[in-house]
Amino acid sequence: MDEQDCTQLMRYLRVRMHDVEMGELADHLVAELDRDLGPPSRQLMKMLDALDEELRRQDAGTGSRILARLGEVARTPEGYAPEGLWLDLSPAHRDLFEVDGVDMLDGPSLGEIIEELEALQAQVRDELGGSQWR
Amino acid sequence: VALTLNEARRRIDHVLAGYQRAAGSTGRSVLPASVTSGKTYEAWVLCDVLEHLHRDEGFAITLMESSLVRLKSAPGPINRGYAHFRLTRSGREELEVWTDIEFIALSASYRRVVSGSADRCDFHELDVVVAPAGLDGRPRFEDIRIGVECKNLAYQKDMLRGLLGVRRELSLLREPLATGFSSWPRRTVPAEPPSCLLAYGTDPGILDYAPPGEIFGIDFVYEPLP
Repeated sequence: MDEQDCTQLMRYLRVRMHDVEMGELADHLVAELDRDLGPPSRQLMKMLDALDEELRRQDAGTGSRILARLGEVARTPEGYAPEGLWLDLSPAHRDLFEVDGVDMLDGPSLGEIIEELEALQAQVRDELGGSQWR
Repeated sequence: VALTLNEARRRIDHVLAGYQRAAGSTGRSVLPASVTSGKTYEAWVLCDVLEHLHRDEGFAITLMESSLVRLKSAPGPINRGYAHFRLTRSGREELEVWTDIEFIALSASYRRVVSGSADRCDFHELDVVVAPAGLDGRPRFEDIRIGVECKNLAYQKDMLRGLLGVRRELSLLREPLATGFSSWPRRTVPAEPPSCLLAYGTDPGILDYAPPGEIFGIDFVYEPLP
């Protein structure tokens, strides 16, 4: 892969993220890249890193790890560990989405595809010359 | 085997198709990413804050008003009926930990603004706040013992500018004063009142912005999601 391939892959990634309703994140990343004077390879790695971050954010496993960590240090007055992790919506959001909140543990299981993406990130880094990207 | 452009595209397709299959049927899918964005990271940082306060500072931590840890999609004043954490330790001021709280700024206080009559310019949001127990409504700048900002995006210069503004609206630059904490987040801070201010980020680039914080008493922490 060379710098031209990186530019093409960034374009492809952005289009495909739109296809899976991650367009908002893709466009945000592209807007931020305007401020980044690095070469396309560095910008591509930033996009892949951000995708990786987004998948981890949504992964149900992350919510479970958060709850387990909280349970190690915090207890209810009755002595129990916290039972769940919940996001309460503001009144405007409640009206718009017709739900009061969401269970933060009710996310998709993305462990396998996070591993796949990690492998791809590592290989792209190797192809482009090492570990200077992080 | 060298990675070709076509092979990289194929693997991206595979990852995103897997995401689409897995994400479609969960409760969280009813909300756009802009609403939930940052909340998982905020919860992860909350874990870090509570762990330090428990292990380094010796506080017992009690989840109050709910058996669930509850985050808010929009910031606001302290609501005492809402879930929060109480910090207790023998001989120490009792504290509470709240998320997504607006505080009354130093500049507003100089103009004698009170919480009920505050305009948008008179208060600012912090993602995690440690303040004395028992407060209600928007805490004042001098009530903030620890304020935390969380960013799960590529760290940019405008985020540093915003953080410097929050620092200015919390305290004046002074010779170091005791924070009341023995080691975490820090023992002293060059600020009066001596509030601690921390910026957590998932982008390692956040540490590039740390030097101004050494002057103004802001700690930058690189903390990726697991």
